Amino acid sequence: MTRLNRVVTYVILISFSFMVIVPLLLLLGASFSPVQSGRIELGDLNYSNFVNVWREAEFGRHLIVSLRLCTLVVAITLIITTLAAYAIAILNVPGSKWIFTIILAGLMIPLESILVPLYFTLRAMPFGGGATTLLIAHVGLNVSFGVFWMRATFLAIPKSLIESASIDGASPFETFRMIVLPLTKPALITLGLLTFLWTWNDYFLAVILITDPDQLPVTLAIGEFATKYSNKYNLMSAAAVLVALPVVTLYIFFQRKFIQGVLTGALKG
Amino acid sequence: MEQSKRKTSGIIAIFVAFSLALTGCSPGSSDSASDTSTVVIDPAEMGDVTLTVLDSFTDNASPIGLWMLDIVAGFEAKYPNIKIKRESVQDITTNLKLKLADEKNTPDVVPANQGWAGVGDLSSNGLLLNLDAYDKAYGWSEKLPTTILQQSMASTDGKNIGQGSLFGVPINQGAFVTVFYNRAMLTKLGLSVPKTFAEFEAAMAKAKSAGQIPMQLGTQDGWPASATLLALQAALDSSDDIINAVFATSNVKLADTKLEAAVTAYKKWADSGYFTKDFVGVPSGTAVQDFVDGKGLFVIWYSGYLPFKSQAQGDKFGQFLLPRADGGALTGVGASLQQFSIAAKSDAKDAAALFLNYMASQEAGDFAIKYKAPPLFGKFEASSDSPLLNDGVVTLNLITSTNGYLPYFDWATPTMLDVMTQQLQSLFGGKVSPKDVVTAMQKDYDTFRESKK
Amino acid sequence: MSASPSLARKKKKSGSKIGFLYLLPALIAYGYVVIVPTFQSLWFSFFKWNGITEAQWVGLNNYLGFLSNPLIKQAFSHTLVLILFYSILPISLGLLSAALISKTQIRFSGFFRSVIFLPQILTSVVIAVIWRQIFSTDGILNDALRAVGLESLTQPWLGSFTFTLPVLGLAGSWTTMGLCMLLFISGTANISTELYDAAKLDGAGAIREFFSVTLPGLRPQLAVAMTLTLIAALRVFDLVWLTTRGGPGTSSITPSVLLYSKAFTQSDVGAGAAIGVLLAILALVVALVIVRVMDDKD
Repeated sequence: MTRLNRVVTYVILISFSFMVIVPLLLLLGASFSPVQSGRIELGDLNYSNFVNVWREAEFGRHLIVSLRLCTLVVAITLIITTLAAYAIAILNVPGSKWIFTIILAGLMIPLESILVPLYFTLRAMPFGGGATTLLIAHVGLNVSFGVFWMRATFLAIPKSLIESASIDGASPFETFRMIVLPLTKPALITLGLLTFLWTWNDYFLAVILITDPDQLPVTLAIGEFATKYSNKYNLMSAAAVLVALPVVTLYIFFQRKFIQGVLTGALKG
Repeated sequence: MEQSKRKTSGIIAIFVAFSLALTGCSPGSSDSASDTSTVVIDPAEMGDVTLTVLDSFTDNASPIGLWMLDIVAGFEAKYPNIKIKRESVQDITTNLKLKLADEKNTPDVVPANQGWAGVGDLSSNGLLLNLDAYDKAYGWSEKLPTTILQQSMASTDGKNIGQGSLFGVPINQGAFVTVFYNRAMLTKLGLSVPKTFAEFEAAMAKAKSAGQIPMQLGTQDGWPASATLLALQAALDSSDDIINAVFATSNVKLADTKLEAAVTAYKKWADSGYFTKDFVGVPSGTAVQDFVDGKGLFVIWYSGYLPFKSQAQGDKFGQFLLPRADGGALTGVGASLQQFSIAAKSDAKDAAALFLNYMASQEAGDFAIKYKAPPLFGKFEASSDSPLLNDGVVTLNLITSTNGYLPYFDWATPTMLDVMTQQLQSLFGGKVSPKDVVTAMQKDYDTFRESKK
Repeated sequence: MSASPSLARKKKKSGSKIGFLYLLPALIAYGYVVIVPTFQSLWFSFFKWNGITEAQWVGLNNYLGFLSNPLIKQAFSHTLVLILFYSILPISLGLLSAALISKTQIRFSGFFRSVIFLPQILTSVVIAVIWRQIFSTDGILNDALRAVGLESLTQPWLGSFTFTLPVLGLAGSWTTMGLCMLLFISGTANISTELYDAAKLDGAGAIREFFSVTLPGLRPQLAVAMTLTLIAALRVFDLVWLTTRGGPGTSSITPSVLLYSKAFTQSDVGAGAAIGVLLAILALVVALVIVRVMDDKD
């Protein structure tokens, strides 16, 4: 019984893994292919696609735009959401229950519902159409999850630790910095990773908000690239691989955190 | 509890008020039309200016990309006090309107497409500068063919295009919807360049029986499917019908034109297997690339836009306009490759007008020839070392002499291109009949004309 | 003795003032980016506006117009199809896997988990590139069909009125499947074995065991999976936009694609905003219904 069970288990796991890996291998293979259609020629592996994409689509520039954007978004989001969560969970600011409910509601509001007015509001700003617009948008959108995540983490801290700190005469900020933060570092890292992931991967928001061609994040650049070179699949695959590389790299090192973050985050919500 | 409730409802109230204030009680603003009372054409009087020029010529290796580089270099050399700052984006139309309405970062020179979706829409919203004063100063109406300039005109009351004031200037490079052919394959099939419509269809039939793809076509990505329809319209319909319909100069009912015949011919070609196999799933870029790689006898495409890697490759092909079915004088859907306008909010109008003038000059035409692209106005000889270019110049001279320029049909309304695209895809999917296509286009046309009353 | 309560209150008051400062940046960002635009969307939806010139009040006309607009109906009917692929299919497969998978230690579980979850971390652009090529007329699917002699079954997948939407749906399944599987598999790990033992004692077969122990035990995971995938199906934009733009014809349009085209291409901002409001309401309804149903079962 258990034997059959184990065989079935492996069959299921292997077939699902197969279904995931095959398309990805095809992509990888096409990105090394000298043939336009992306046909995989194992004997003729070719790095020129990556070079071409880098040069023609000026990928380097767009990668930097994305990197700068994501790093800033992560940094700012971590700071403001942790502070806010601290205020709600530990300082118990009056009205925090209602405030938290409002923030939580944001998790349910789909991007589409706020896009149109957001576009018009941000466009009127002096930096309209550039990466700063996207930065603000992403930070605002990440508040809901960030506050929710960190609040849950903070609530798990034994109250006694906090109380003893305040009895010792520590100011709220000192308690925050010296007790709470160090204890919740893993959660912070997970939040950082997830925020990076979502910001890096975004396409829809960028398509609408970014109008300055020099400041396209890398997802948008490859979108434009794909329209221009719809038939040069080998080039497009190389571009796709380049776009996915940073996140996949982070994923390889931090898999557990990513997976756990999404699963537990989703469940608690 | 009470206090926090009040606090949060207070916060909400502030947000709502704030948001309403941000957009004003009703969003948008009414802009008064701009006026140009004083016009300066002497570059020396313009001082030091930086012109922001928007364009969609992102491929620096293509003829138009190279042309643009030469234009900018030539202009800056000629007028050293004016610097050009280019912003090239491939999908220029999506955000053009909003860029023009942007108070802070308005570009100066913008590529507005001819027709309602471009010049018509933008000028009726007060976003483009009325160029009549500059026209008087630079004499464009005298120097450029009226049928071409007409494509950049719109009435100041926003109700009509093709008449009224001038809102843009075409560049001296022409693009036709033209038939390209593979020279070697044509010869091998024992054919010569078709001189009549019947000969053309016979050529396709012969190619098919010889196992070749008679015409490359890809409609998966939508709008390029309209190119063939436009060519068929030009070959089957009367010029007057098309011009009157697009510019709404008379009350033309599409059902009375030969539009349905054009759509039917398109479908017939599809059903006869003249197109690429499974063309509904092939993006146009792939079809066109395959043609350039030697597969396929014909392709109907915009002249100057085939992705040739070199002149040598380009010269393997030739081009001609689809002959008329009634044997009449040749007509072709053609226009300037791009017409440029000046933003109404521009702060460098005089310099911008100077730039537009330069882009329509003989010098600009010479640059076009240099990159083997057909110019649009001026005198040019079909004597270059590129057979493909010579074909283009011959076409150009012919159409100029017969005054056979036809406007693109999708200029008729801002949404016509979308309607044509969707209808054609439905036609090839077997979902609608040619008559349905005409009805849908008529409906779009009528709705738009109603809104303009 | 009377000093300490007032001292405590004073401490709390100053604490709360600072606390509010801690809260402020997040609140400002959130308010500006989410709350205000939500109300603005509602506001815009009552106007006819082209984005530039003055707007015209039309009240509920945009919404009433939807009732007679065939495109809107078509878009939402497509959402139903997408729900099948984004939600129902992956959840069913996920549940099945959870039921069949051994509760004991599996080797390489970390590897399997990471691989299966991988599609969740790829950006939609990459996913679109992958699947556009697989379903292209000279892509791997058609090639494979030809290779096994099934040439007649080859199709212009992304150009066909019949197949475009399902095919895009399959790409969507590929994306959400991993999430569902992992949710349920990790969920079953938390179901106490005592419940299974009790079921076995009662003489329950595998199927009954599934329905009486596994499924109820997975209720929170099921709620999450349903919410996430249903909302994902509702919101589909990137995948369609980067492959077919809603074509051929209008056979793959989704509400988001329609929103984009109305607000930004056709300059009908009010209608676009109205679609946005509809999507928000639907998302909220989905979440509320799921929560309610899950709670009821208790």
